[in-house]
Formats: sequence, C-alpha cells, structure tokens
Amino acid sequence: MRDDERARRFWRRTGRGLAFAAAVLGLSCGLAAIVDHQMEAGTRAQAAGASLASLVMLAGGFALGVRGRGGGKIPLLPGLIGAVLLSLAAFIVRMFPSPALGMFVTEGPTAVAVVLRTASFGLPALALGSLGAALGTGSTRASLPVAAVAILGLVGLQFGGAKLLLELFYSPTLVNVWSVSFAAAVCLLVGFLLAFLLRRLAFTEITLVALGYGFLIYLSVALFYESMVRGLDVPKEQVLVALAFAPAAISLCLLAVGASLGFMLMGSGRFDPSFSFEMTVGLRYLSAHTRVPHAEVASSAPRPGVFRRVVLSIFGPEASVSVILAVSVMGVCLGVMALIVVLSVMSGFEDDLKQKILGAHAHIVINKKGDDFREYSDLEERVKSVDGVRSAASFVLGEGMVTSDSNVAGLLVKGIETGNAAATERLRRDIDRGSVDFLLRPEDIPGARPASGRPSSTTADTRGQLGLLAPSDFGEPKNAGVESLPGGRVLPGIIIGRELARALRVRVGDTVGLVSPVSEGIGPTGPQPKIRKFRVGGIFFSGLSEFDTKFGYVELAQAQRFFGMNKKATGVELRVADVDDTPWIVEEVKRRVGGHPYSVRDWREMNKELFSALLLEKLAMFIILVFIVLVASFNIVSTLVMIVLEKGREIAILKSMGATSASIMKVFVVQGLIVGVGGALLGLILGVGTCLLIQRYGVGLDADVFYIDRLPVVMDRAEIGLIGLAAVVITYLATIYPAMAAAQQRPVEGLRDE
Amino acid sequence: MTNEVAIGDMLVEIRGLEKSYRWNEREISVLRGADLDIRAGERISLTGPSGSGKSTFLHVLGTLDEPDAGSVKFAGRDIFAKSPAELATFRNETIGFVFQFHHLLPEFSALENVMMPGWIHRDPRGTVERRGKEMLDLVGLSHRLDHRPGELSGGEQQRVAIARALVAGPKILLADEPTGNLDEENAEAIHDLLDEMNQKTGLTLLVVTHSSSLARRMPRRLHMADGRVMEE
Ligand SMILES: Nc1ncnc2c1ncn2[C@@H]1O[C@H](COP(=O)(O)OP(=O)(O)OP(=O)(O)O)[C@@H](O)[C@H]1O
Ligand SMILES: [Mg+2]
Repeated sequence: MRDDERARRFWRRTGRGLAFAAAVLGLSCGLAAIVDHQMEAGTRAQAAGASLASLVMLAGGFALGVRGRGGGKIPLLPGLIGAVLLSLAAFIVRMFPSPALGMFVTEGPTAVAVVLRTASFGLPALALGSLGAALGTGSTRASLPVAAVAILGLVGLQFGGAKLLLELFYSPTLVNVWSVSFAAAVCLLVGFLLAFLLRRLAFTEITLVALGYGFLIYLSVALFYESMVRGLDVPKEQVLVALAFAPAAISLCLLAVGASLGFMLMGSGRFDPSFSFEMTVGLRYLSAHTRVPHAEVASSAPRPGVFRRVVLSIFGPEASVSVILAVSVMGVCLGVMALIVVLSVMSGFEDDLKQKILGAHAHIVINKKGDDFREYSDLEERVKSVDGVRSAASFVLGEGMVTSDSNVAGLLVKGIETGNAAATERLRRDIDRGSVDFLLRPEDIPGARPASGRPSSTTADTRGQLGLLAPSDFGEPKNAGVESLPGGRVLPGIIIGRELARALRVRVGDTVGLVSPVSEGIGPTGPQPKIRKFRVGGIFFSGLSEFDTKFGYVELAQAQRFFGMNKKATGVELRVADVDDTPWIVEEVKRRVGGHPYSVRDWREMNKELFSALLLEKLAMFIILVFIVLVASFNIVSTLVMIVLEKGREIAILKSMGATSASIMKVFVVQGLIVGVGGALLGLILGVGTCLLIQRYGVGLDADVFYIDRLPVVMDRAEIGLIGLAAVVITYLATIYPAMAAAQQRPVEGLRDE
Repeated sequence: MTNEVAIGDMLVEIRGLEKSYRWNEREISVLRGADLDIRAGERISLTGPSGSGKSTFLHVLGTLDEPDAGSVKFAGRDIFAKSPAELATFRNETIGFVFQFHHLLPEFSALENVMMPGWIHRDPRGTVERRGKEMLDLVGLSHRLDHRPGELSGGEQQRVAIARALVAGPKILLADEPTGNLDEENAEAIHDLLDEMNQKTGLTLLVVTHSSSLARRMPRRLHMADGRVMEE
C-alpha cells in the first residue's frame, strides 16, 4: 500500500512538472514570437499580445504554486526543463521553417546565434513562471512584496537615473558607468536588506528578484531597442542574447553576496560585525587539517636541517599549512597569475599595434564625396585651430606599381606636405636611411651606384641585401650621380619602406619607375600606362608590415601631377595631441567642416575590423581564463564542503555552546576568503612579477612570424585591480554554498556519532 | 532574562513531549508524552535502560533538537517560540552541556575549549582566559592547559568538558553520563565538584547516569521508561 502511494505521488509530481514545462514551453513560444515581432514592427496589438502572454504565464505559475503548496519552493527545475525544451523546439522550427511558423524565421542568423537567442527566451519564461509559482505558494507570499518593491526600485532607479544623467550631462560614458555601478551597488544592498529583514539567507527571494530584474531589463530593451541602444556596433541579436542572461546572472551573484553579508552581520538578531572567535576557529580548521599529536613526531629522528624544517612546516605531518589549503590557494593563484600575464601581453600587443597605427596613420581623416576636393587648404585652415589638433595636412592617395631593375611591386603612393613639420613628424622618426627633406630638394639625394657596378643577377640577392644594410650611402660625395630629365630637371624623390626596398633591391639614390593606372593615351596595344621616374630619397621602417611593404611617400605636388589630380587632394588628415580625446575632437571637426559632402572618420572607425578583432580576442581570452579561476573556485567549494562534512560534530558542539548560524557561516566564509584573498594576492604578486621580468629581460619572438621582435607587456592598473577583485568575488561566491550548508546544519546532527 | 529565577522557583516545565524518528520508513517513538517540572537549584538524576531516550530527552530540553509535540517552558517562557538566533543566545547563557561522548573540539587546547563559550558570547578575551584558567584549576587540570583532547586521558577530557559546560555560569547543567568511562574514585570526585557548584551557585543539575550508586547521591531520582519520565 505504501509503495502504491509512493508511485502515485511520483507520477503526480512528474506529471505536474511536465505540465508546467509544457505550459512554459507554449507560452514562452508565444511570448518569444510576440516580442520578436514587436522588435521588428512595433505595433500596439503586439505589445498587448506580449502582456497577455506574460499574464497567462504568471497565472500558470500561480496555479502550480497553489497546487504544490507547503514546500514553498519555486518550481525552478520544471521551469528550466521548459526553457531547454523551448529552446530546442524553437531551434528546430527555425532550422526547418514552415509557413505556419513563419514568425520564428528571421533572415540567416548563424546556428549558434539561433540557439542562443531562442535559449534566451527561456529566461523570461522562467522568471514569469517562477514569479507566478512564488505568488501561489503560501510560504513566500509574505516576502513577495519586498521582492517586488526591490525589483521595481532597481529597474526604476536604473533607468530613471540613466535618463536624468543623459538629460543633465549628455555623456554616454557617465550613463554606462552609472548603470553598471549603480545596479551592482543596489543589488548588493537589496540582498543585504532581504537578509536583514528576513533574518535568513532568503535564497528564494533573491532568485525571484534576480529573475524579475533580468527579465524587466531584457523586456524593456527588447521593446524600446531603438531609443535605448545607440551607437553600438554589436548586432541587435547579440545584444538581446547577452541581456537575456547577463543581468539576471550578475544580479543573482551580487544579491547572493549582499544577502550573505547581511545574514552574517544581522543573522544573530543584532548587529554583530565581529569576526573574533570565528576567525580563530576558521584559521585553526584550515591550518590543523593534517595535524597529528605532538608526541609522536617530537620523539622521532634527529633534528632536521633548516630547509627540511621549512618544507616540513609547510607540507609535513605537523604542517602549519595543510596540503589542501596549499592546493586551493595555488589554484586561485595560478588562475589570477595567468589572467594577469596573458591579458598584459595582449594589452601589450594591442598597445603596440595602436602605437604603430596611430603613428603611421592619421588620427582623423576628412574626405569629400566626388573627386573635386580643391578647397583643401581652406578646410585645413578651418580645422587646424580645433582644440587638441596638433597638425592638419592635405594628402593625395592613389594606387600604382613600382619597378626597379630587378623587380616589380604594387604600392600605395601618398602625396604629403613635406614642409609641414608637425604632419611628417612620425615619418621623420621612422626614417632609416636618407631624409624626408630630399622630397623637397631631390637634387640633394646622394648619388646612385654606377650602372656598371650593378651586381649580376645570380648574386643579386645576397649582394643587394648586404648593400642595403651597409651604411655606405652617406660616405659618397653629394650630387655625384644626379640623373636628370631630358629637360635638365632633377628627378623627384620618393620614400619607401624597408621591406619594399628590400624586395626591389634598391637603396637611397637609386632610380625607380612609378606606373600609374591613369592612362597617358592609347598605344598600339591599348591604353598606355603613365610611367614616371623617381629617385629613392629615403627608406623608412615603421615596424608595421602593411606600411613597410606597401607605402611610398612623395611630395604632394608630385602626386597631384602623377595622378592627374590638378590642384585636388584626396583628403585632409589630422593628428591630435592625445588620442584619447579623439571622440570629442571629431565632434568639433564635424561641426566646423559641416556635413555632406564631407565625411569625417577617426582612427577607430578606419581600423574598426582590426580593433574589434583584438577586443574580441581579448574578451575570449578573458572568458577562458575566468574559467580557470572558476575551476579554482570549485576547488574551494570542494575543499570547504569536505571540511564542512568532516566538521559536522564540531559545528554541532559550537552550536550547543550557543554559536549562531551566522557565526558558523562566518567561520567558513573566513576560510574561503583566506584561500581566495591569499590566492589572489599571491597571484597578483607572481603575475605582476612575471610581467616585470618579461619587460626587463624580454622574451624573443621570431620577427619573421610576428611583426615585433619581443613579447610586449603593458600592465593596466585598472585591469589588474579588476582581475584581483573578480577573483575575490568569485571565491567569495564559492564559499557561500558550503558556509550556508554548515550554518543550516541542525545542532543535533553530528552529536550522535562517537 | 532568566536571571530573576530564585532558588526553589519553577525553572523548567515540560509538558507532553513527543519525539519520534523515521528510520527506514518505520516510526520509532522515543518520547511519548514526557512531563517534568524542575525547580531552580534541584539536583536530579535520570536513569533508564539503554535506548530509552535519555539523550534524546536532554537534547530536546537543551533546544538542540525539536520535539514533534509538547512544550518546554523555561522560567515561564516557551522556548520553542524563540527564533534560532535567540535560541543560540539562550543556550550560550543558560544551559551547560556535557555530552555522553564528552565532545571536545579536537583542534583546540583544553584551555581554548573552555574559553570557547566566552568567546562566542564575545566577552573580553582577557576575562575569558582568566575564567577559563580558574575553571580548569577547579577541575584539577591547571597543568594540562595547552594539551589537545587527543593528548588527554579519558577522565581528563571528561573534566575539561565539565569545565567548559560550567564556565559561563549556566542556570542548568544537562550532563549525559559525565562519568561514564571513569573509575569510581574519579567519578566520585566529579560528582563532588558538581555538588559543590550546586551549593555555591545554585546550579541546577540534571545528570543522566547508569550507576545506581551515583544516582543515589541525588536527592531527586527520575527513571525513564516507555518514553515517559517517572519519579522513583
Ligand atoms: N537520528 C536517529 N534516527 C533514528 N533513530 C534514532 C536516532 N537517534 C536516536 N534514535 C533512536 O532513539 C532511541 C533513543 O536514543 P537515545 O540516544 O535517546 O537513548 P539513550 O537512552 O540515551 O541510550 P543510552 O543509555 O545507550 O545512551 C534509540 O533506540 C535510538 O536508536
Ligand atoms: Mg544516551
């Protein structure tokens, strides 16, 4: 009879779970579709549909909660199953679209995006279902108003504050900082208050607040996407997916942190911030883990040497630090260290690349639609006086081919204002041989090797390179071999990159031919390309292979003549004093230049692909490494759970002597924090130390593979601080569960066993 | 809160206490409506066959376990109406436990074990240490302060446990076979000590014992059978 009843109960429960899952599935499919449509079109009817679906979901959860009264538990598991089923169903529907289900079909997102996005609909489903269930379950009803007020307060204040800041200061950065830091602070506070008011960890309420808050953020951004998200290059799809998970997950973590703090400080019924005996006990548990009685060790063997004593004191049977503790600390330490070193190296690469790009490229470029940019000097004058602009210079840019005696290569010919010292500053610094001024005075270019002395083709390679490397060019008398045009005029000068010079096997003073795509006339074989002769006046090395292999600089007027752009320029380029000010300067430049037909772009925009790729790579790296810290924190969880299990009796004794649950929680939080903070600090020291070592002694790189010859390291203080903070927060989160388990142990448990 | 109870006043009123354990789908009824009144300053022994529920009774009385039914009033107040945090403070200030298996904290020295209740109460460290030393001196262990439980004999451990139970000046001592594994001489000494504390401070004693000779020392003797407490 008993078995019968049990089986019945089992099936009833399973049936209920499945029913709930199905309800969540169906309803959130509807909601998803509606929200989807709403995002696309945005009509009132659809908004109403979304609200209706939400209400039905709430009601469903409510009914379930009422029926499952008593347990007071939110049916999270069926909700999760529902969410997963929903994602699966939506995924299948999207992959095999049918007209009836056409609402799910959007244009060509990738499979991963589809999975993520459809999975993201599970969150609202979970939130609403849980809320309904919590409403229906009697035991949490009392604290629901608190949770509801908390959610509304969170969302309202976040958006309200953001709006206010936007109105007052119009600074998107400020608004972002506000949104993130404010939400974080309020989450902590709300968790704290919940634990404070309810005198317990209030996990149900926390989950509710997190789900509700995450859902509201998601919904409001999804519905008012256009007005809320501006100036972001990330596709809407990804933004929404991120918003479906991140706010709920992050707020859950922060709420848990706040609640555990609140419980520890207030759980004993009065404000009790002291950690005095909890610290003593926690430390003892950590350190005495492998301890054996004095007597057994003391009597054995002769006194060990200093080194052995140190090793023994760490790992020995009478260790002051237990092996488990050491391993846990090392886990966190290695994670933090790896994060710091890898991110610093990546920052180094990024910084290096940025330096080089910013050095060689213009920071801001003004272009004009069409090909009659004649008023360039006027424009140049107008923007020169903008605050923060260091130099403004017009330029001509075009494609061409360059030929030497032994080779041909494509190149970008750039005409520059050689006389403008500020604009050519960087090029002057990068010059390896020759001089920028030779572009203005090509007659000063030192003479070429006599034609008769050219190396034969068989040994051209080695000889050419050796010739390039030997600094013999300046020893020769000037003007020795100036080649003149038929009309008695001197050949114009060109400056090319070292790589290109190597490929062409030319050096300063040699003559090269530039071939223009603009035809000179029709010859017997079709359009005749225009060929002009130039003399190499300088060779530069920027370290950026894009430049060193592809660029040739000539005087602006020469370029205009060569490309047939009489008195016209391609654009005006600006360099700014501080690249971090670029966004504001761009605004001002835009204002002065006016809109159409001019366009103003800054370096970030021009190198968008490169920098977003770098950012993405860094992000991926960060996530991978955070997983290392996560694994390390799981190590903390398992260590602490082991200690908690092992110390069941001690916990009971402490409770019998009157230790409160809050005190027991403190005992274990202390242990977790010691591991976390200790590991983070050690990792910080080792990581920064490693970075400093790399900086000081360098790690060589194969310059042929990388564009740089040693590992670049740039330590960002904020980044390192953030890593340390994240490690401590994660390890703290890891301690919450075991500490809570210990605190909630009933005192009588553990007293029975001998 | 319970400080006003004078010697001879009603200290504990236990009514209809029931407690059963579920074990492999079977109900084991341990307490079946136990009633008991204890006045402040009384010395009481509790005997009964093994498994009759004496330890369970003490645990419930000491708020370490919850009864299925019944009430326990302490100085007129229902203790199971209190919040967990209030109960903890109650245990800390009012009750001294000596467990059947003299549970000491193995990582802490004898002195630290005895100081623990004071630490939990957040008394000043100096006071706590002074009281702890005095108490250990009283049980004759002033030469074993820094020994860990593993480095003490069974009788010494028992004495440390008693010192720990008494150090905070509780109203009532719940002792579960405090002299279970001691020789007669030592057992007598422990009981002398308890009697002395009773004389000096009016400490109420409820001592579970298997030894009838020790039980006879107590003016009031109780017997546990069928889940009830009976006067002998
Ligand atoms: N957690 C438990 N689960 C199931 N049964 C239990 C549990 N704790 C105690 N019991 C049972 O309850 C009964 C009473 O146990 P209790 O420890 O109170 O006995 P006791 O009178 O103290 O015995 P002793 O004199 O041997 O110490 C025993 O039969 C025991 O098996
Ligand atoms: Mg017993």
